[in-house]
Amino acid sequence: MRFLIDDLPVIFPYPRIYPEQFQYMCDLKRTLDAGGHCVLEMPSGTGKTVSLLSLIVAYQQHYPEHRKLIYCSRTMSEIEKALYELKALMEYRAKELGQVEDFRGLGLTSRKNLCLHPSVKREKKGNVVDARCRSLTAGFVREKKEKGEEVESCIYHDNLDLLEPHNLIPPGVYTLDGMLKYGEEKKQCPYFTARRMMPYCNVIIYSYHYLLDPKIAERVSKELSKDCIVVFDEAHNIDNVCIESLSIDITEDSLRKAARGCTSLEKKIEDMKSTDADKLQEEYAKLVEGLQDASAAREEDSFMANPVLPDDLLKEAVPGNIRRAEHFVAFLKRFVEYLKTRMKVLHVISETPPSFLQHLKDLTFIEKKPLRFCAERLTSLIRTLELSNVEEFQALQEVATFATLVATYEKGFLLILEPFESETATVPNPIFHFTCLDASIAIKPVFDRFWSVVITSGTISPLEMYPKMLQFDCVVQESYAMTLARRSFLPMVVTRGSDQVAISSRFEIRNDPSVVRNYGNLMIEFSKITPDGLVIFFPSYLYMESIISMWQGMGILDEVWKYKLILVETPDSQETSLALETYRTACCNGRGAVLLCVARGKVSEGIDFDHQYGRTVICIGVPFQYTESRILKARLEFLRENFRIKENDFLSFDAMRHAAQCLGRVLRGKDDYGIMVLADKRFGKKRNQLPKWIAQALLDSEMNLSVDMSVAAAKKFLRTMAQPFAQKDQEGISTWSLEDLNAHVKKMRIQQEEMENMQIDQAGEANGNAKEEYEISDEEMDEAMMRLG
Amino acid sequence: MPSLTTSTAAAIARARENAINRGGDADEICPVCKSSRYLNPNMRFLVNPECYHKMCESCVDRLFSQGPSQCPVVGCDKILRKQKFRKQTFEDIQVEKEVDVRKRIAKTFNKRQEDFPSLKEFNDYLEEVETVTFNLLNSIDINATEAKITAFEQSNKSSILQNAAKAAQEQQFALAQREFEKEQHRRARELENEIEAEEKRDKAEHKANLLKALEADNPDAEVAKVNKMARKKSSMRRENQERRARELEAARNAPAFQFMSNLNRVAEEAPPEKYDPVDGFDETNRYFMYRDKYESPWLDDARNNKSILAGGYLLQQYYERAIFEAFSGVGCFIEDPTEEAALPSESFDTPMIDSAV
Repeated sequence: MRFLIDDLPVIFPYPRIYPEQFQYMCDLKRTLDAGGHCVLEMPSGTGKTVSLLSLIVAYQQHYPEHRKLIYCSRTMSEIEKALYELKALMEYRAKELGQVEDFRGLGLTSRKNLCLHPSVKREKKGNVVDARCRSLTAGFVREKKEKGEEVESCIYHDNLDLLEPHNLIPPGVYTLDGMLKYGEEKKQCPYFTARRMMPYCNVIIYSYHYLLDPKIAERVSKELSKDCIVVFDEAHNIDNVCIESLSIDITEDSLRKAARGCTSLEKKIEDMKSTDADKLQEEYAKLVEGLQDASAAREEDSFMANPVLPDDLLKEAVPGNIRRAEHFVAFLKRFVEYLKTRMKVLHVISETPPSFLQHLKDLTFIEKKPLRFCAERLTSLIRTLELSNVEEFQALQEVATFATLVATYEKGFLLILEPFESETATVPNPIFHFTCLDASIAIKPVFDRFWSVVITSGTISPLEMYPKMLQFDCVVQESYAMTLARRSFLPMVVTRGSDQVAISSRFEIRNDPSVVRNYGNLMIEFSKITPDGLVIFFPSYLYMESIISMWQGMGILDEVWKYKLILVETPDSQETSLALETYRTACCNGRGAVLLCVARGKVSEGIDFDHQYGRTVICIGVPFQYTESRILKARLEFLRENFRIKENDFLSFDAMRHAAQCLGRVLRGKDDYGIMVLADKRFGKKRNQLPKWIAQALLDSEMNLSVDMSVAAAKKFLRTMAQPFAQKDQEGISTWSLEDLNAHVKKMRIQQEEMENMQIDQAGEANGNAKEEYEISDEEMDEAMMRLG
Repeated sequence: MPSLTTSTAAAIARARENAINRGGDADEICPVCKSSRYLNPNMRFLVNPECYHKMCESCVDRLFSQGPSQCPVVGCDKILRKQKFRKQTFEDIQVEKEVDVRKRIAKTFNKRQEDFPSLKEFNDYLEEVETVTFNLLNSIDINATEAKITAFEQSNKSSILQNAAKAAQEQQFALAQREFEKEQHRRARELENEIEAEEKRDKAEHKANLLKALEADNPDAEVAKVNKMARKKSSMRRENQERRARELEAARNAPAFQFMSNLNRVAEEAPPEKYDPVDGFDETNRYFMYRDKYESPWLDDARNNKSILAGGYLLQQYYERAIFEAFSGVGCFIEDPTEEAALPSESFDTPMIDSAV
């Protein structure tokens, strides 16, 4: 269907549209026009991606600026899904417009997923693929080849050089599979095709990390222009992604590897000195001038990490004491030895970067300034030495990145040394955590650089938390309710068992037999009445294991087996995917199954249980984080001090966003239906922290149920769901055809005009009898104040 | 955050012992006496910065307690002293050595970036220093390098001293700053706790009031009253909190400044003022004078009574005390202290009172 939003013609690839989709597009357009950032929450399963894409593509094609869209999503499957949506949209547009637009949409993912080289692609590990690919495609390999030396190179990569650099792939939208097929056909590397074509694309779809992880962003996303529209989809976890991308963990093993890397670097330098001293001299001369040249090197050449460096660093010359290669290696060696010494401490240490630097300086005479240049200098050295076996230096690179970060940021980071893995362990296994506490550091360049950043997800409540944590101002901040023709999902809060004992996963009572039995009864009852799939989320693996073993003892599992198959998620991803597959089979044939999984595990993020795969989801306990973790404690303190977010507020917010995420798994569209059970006493007070669309559907009468009451409610709900439900019933209410849409727009316009007229009238009146008006408003204000307080 | 930051140096020393007890493969056997950790679990290794050959503590005791002697390692002819032996800080002996060299170099070559007209020259200087260190470490041109060091030391004597002082001062400043920040931190925390407690208290109070109000004859009115009071209170509290938060913020943003000035004051060391035990109190009186003799019938008697005077009784002292007491408090103004300075000189330039006691 085709319609106008203000003056923008939008082509929507379906004959009907949901009201919230239309609202979403309007708000999005408002944001793009205003040129600012926005946070939007739209219920899951209401076609967020397609409305986003169709609006932005329309925006691109209609206005002369052709602002590029950078769409970031979380997982591979989500990226692929978005690419398919985009492809379908473009096909529909072509049909509707009667011509194929000049348009390119590409997805980018890791080399591992896109490699075609016959031997490299067989490697299992991502970083091995990366390293081997680099060794085949780096700039010096080609140089050597041109000189006539015998070197191995990748034919797929070399073929790219034969093509026009701005037209490596004809216009169109390519899914990842499509890219692979095209690459195989034309014998060209899909990975480098995508990467080199990025400046010429209208839409780029890739993972968050390409924009947020400074190591990757520096190489991949640096040249994107300022007017790009950046979208973070499924962004409810974005703060954690930001933090992870700047945190580094160092273990004894990695230090050993780093030390080995140092030694081998030393050897390589010696070799080069005897054979090709000019090259080192050349590098030296370049460093005397500054780093700009280094950063101007070709893309593929950049071997290693490149953390966010403030611009002043790039303009400044490398300090004299690490200019020479041998000096620098000695410098690194000293730093690694120092870290080794620190690791020997047998009690927990947490300190700020300045105090770490002070101690470092006292002990080893390493100054802050050369430390800041560490990562850059290492990159340059490795490039000069033409090392292709990058794996060997990965640990060293990590240490160098750590060095740079610790010297660059005084605030927002903390160093925590944990000598033992757990409280009870006696054999030390020290880990040096360099943790980022401030999520805004990693994302700041994105907000600074791009005019419009859209943060959106199905569950991103409370909305105001995100601008606070990520330090940005947003022009639009909206949460949409779900319009439904019938009540198609039933959220309930179950606070006590049938015996009226309060149920909670609170630490003190979580292993009480009565609580565990009540949870067990809840599972039994729901496995009796739920058709097909039942998904149960636990707060942690540990708790899940203990409760399952208790259930086994109580005979609860035997009871459930009568009705359903039981499957369990484990930390091992292969086992879990097998369990998922079995679960799906069981839901499609026979009586269905129960899937027991963890609220922060793989299943809770990114795996949909649509239709028969999930008819009921039960959230056992509030999925709080493990609060004894030192890293979490440090982060809480940081949040309280800098953003004035209270510890409990943050913990509760974090738990609720995970709970909401779990609940959202079960409802993936308007024709879907499901029951959502929150089984913990503490959920009773957290209703307003749920996303608006869930909170609205949660009736007051269903806030404080016991198990038997909830079962009765669920039975009644399922009976209504079993009634025939024709597509027609939804029309005009939860789905709009073009006529409905136009009617709505007209109505809105009339309303707006009325409002304007009223305002004008009021203004006229107000002028007439200003005094009277004033008195009234004063009284009103008083009353309003009372209500506010 | 538990304050876990401790004096790390001591911690490292302690940990080192533990680490050695844990034992790495290379650490197992003393290269001199060949005794192994298996036989002597408390074995500790020491090195001497002369030659950095490692040996166990008992070997050191055995070989060097009689005074300096030669290193027992074959081919090493260094003469070692027992006092110089110490525990190894770094695992890699080369790094241990390097750090010692650096310690020495850092004492001499301590120029700062401000001392150079441009960054490039400073970088060249840094490289030079690095080369000197490297030469010393790898025994390249030792003589030439040593000569260079001495020459540098000679020509930059004063600036070396100055820079050392500056560095020390900076360090002190950094330390003070860190302390200050910690203090700030603590204060902020306290304040927040206080606010929280206050909130809780108010809430409880409100609840109690509400219950009481419900008991009253016309509960609606009472409840409304209580609610209104609570609102007033909460808005007041909010205001209060905001103000406090602002203050806190200001304090947090200021520290660097305050400290710099504090530090400078300490550095200047103004001569201390002379100590005054009575804190500026002036004994000289302005209001009266003593006479030798006052007419008083009952004192006259005493003046002539030898048996009284013989004990050392002085009438003069009695007069003084009596008059002092009579005038004490004159000239002190409690209401308006601003005028205090001006008043006594004018209006209370009292006539010398020849008062009879």
